[in-house]
Amino acid sequence: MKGSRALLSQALSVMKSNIERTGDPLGFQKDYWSSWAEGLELPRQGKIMLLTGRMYQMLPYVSETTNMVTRMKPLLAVRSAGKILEMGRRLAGEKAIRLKARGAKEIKKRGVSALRGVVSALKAAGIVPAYLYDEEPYSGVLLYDVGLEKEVIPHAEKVHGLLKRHGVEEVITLDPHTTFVMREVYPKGVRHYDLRVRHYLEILTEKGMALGKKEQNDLPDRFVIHDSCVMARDLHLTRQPRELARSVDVEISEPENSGVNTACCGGPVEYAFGELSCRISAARSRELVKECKQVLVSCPICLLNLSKHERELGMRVWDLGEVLDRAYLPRASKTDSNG
Amino acid sequence: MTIHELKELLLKEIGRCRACRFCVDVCPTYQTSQGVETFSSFGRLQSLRSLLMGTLTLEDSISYALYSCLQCKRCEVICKSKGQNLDICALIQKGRTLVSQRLVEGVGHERI
Amino acid sequence: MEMKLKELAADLARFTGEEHVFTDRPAAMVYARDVMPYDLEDYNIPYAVVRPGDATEISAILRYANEKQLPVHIHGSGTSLVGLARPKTNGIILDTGRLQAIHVFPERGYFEAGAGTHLAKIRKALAPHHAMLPIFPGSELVATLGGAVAVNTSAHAVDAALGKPGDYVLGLEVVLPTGEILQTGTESPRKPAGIEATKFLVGSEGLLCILTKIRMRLVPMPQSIPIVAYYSKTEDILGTVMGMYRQGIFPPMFFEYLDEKAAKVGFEAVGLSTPAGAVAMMSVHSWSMAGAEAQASEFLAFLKTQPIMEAKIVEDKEEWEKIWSSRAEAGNYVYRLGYTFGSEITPRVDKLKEAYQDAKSVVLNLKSYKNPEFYSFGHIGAPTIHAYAFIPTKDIPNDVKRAIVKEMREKTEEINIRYGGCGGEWGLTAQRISFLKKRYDPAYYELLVKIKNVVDPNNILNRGNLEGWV
Repeated sequence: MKGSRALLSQALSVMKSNIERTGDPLGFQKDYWSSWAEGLELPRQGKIMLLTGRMYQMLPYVSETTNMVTRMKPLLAVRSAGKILEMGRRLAGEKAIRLKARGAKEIKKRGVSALRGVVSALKAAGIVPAYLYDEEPYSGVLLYDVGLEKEVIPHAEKVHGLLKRHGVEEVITLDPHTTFVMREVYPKGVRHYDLRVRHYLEILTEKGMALGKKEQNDLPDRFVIHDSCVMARDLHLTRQPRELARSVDVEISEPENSGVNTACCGGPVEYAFGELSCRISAARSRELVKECKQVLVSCPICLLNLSKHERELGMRVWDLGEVLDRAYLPRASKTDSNG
Repeated sequence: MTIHELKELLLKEIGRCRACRFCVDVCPTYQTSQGVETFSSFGRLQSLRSLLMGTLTLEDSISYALYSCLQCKRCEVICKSKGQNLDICALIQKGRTLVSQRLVEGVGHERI
Repeated sequence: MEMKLKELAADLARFTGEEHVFTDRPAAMVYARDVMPYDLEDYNIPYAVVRPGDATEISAILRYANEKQLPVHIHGSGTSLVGLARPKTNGIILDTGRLQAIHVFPERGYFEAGAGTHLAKIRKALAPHHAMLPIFPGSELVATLGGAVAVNTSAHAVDAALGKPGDYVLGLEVVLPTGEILQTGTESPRKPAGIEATKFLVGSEGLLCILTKIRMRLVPMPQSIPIVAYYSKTEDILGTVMGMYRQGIFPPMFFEYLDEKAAKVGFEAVGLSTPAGAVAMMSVHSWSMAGAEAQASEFLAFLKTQPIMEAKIVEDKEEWEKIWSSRAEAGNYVYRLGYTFGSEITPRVDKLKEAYQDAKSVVLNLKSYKNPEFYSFGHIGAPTIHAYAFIPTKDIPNDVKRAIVKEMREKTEEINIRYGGCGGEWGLTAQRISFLKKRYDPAYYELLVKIKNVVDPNNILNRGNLEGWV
């Protein structure tokens, strides 16, 4: 708590400056957010646009800097916030951003798998969304969360303008935070806002997707499901992740504090109060593993924060997108395998 | 909305809180702080109210109170069923709107 | 008294560790705030909040407080409805929130819990042992065991069916105001007879000790059958309660009512059709299902001798959940749509109708605010009437709120005195002292003061509550 004001001053200033300067909360100018889509051949124009908001793609860099900060002494909490931001600025200038920490590399792999899994499932449902690749914008949700509402709207106007120039009418989001800000915040400030915003879970469950396991059978039989706070209490999407997961023939268990009563992963305060965030994610992780050590989430923030306790608790955190990536079986092949 | 209008709105809304404290135990930051009430949704609302009324200044403990909130809305679920049906997280978030500019500018401790 | 905060913080930190001492103003104001609708004054705000982890730390703090003549106000949940929780003078707040451990000993027939444990947590811990916590406040998510035992309130339950928590307390660990740590009571499920200290300390409202650990007998979970009865008017429900006591019928563990207005708003809120008049809802219990069914059947037969419109055992679980939640919804209505000023009237049972009429008249003829609306609901089987003055606006000045609270308190106290009652749920100090003084002979209050002076010679604990400061 001591030094909070100074720490928050720094964090908010840099966040604001990064987004104003580069459009990216990490301040990165070099494109790190589109390599996951290599080989998918998604069109760049289209009425239906995939919008990742760069959320999954940011995870490894957040993980890398958090690792660095946790190695610092607690007394340097205020200075460590400055260090994170310094590193961000340094990385932003680098031509090649190398991830050193093993945890960061692993989370990158999972993020890529999650994103690709969602696209595979959408394609199987007959939807080939467009994707902006290196032009893809960040949604600005972090600005809203920290109260910099005035700054969100100019950013939102830019995002909206970009999407409209690409002929977009509907946006498919992959994470709850981007969904929330584009559905609830953008309409309040962006002029002539008429974008339809839908989360991939809403689309896939509407389509009644039936997927089967891959032949390698490399998915656990049972997961305990962790609902993201934003997903459950802001977007009211609790039935959908369960339906989609069950359609993959895995058993879903409920932890204590589930659905609309879900307990937070601690993610939203990690940027400023890492120790508090870690206590919360540890408490939630312990609650989850009481039920099962394979944890299923559908939010990149939950993925990052709960996965910090994997080694300690012998658990593995899966994003639902990863499950889709492994379990996806094209309809024709499924029929063949059933026939 | 002007700053003055925002302050008035917040004071009016927070004034509806009856201090029933049902929102205290469900708050994850309260639970993981061994039960310090200041770090609960109730504590945050009361601190924000005192800030708005000018009895507290924007220093470390208030900054921490406002920004350590996870915005997870667990408090709102219980306030809706047993309390005054306040949008607690939204009020705290608006509190952040009120102070964020000052934080960014790094101005000294002051009354809002 | 000039207080050097840094020095105080350092001194307290020696007892508990620095991380459990808070001298920032936000903490002081959050902890001092209670449910009274008027703002804190400067004299309510403590210099520090300290959070000790056990009786040894509390002992050290109290010895220090005595040395420094520093008042200590005990904080459980802060949810007292008669102002027990708000500090009455500058001092320190001692938060019992870290006294949390729960241990259940089924082979010994009891459980032990820290005084700071929330009741809902204890209820959950007892459930796997098929045991019931015999304390039922609406605030159980935050109300603490220490608070409930310090006030000795069963809250919503009917005493004649369940008794008070003190009936189940086998022993205590306490710290006296001068710092001594005492273990009282027994580890047998049979309570001691005679002049045993547990009896003086249960219900002592934080004046004579700080409760740190409480041992309570494990009470087997009863079976229960719900009954609802519809009446054309509230007075007929009162007549039923009077008849129940007069005829010596064993009361249900819960016996609630909603008056005509409260029933309308409550039922509408849960999606049930509006009742024609007032509603009573009961939960008949016994230790076996066969017993509960037999008892419910007999109680229903009794109800059918009363001026009811309809009475039935509620078989449908969903219907019962709605009926039962209508009480909370009636409360939500009056508390959300304006300001509501409550009362607790627990009269002699044969005077129930007069007490009700008097309460209604008090509310409708309030001097401090013109024409509030009268609502009432409560644990009528106990019998307790909660008569409310409901004012459908949030725009009431602070001084007017204080005046209404004072008038409601004084006038409903007179009803308790007139009809031989003494409250039953909320405690007797702080805002209730004026009542206590009027209700009993002066020697009664003097006795309490004498006891307080002997046990707490420097008047350290909850200073102002016995004095009746507000």
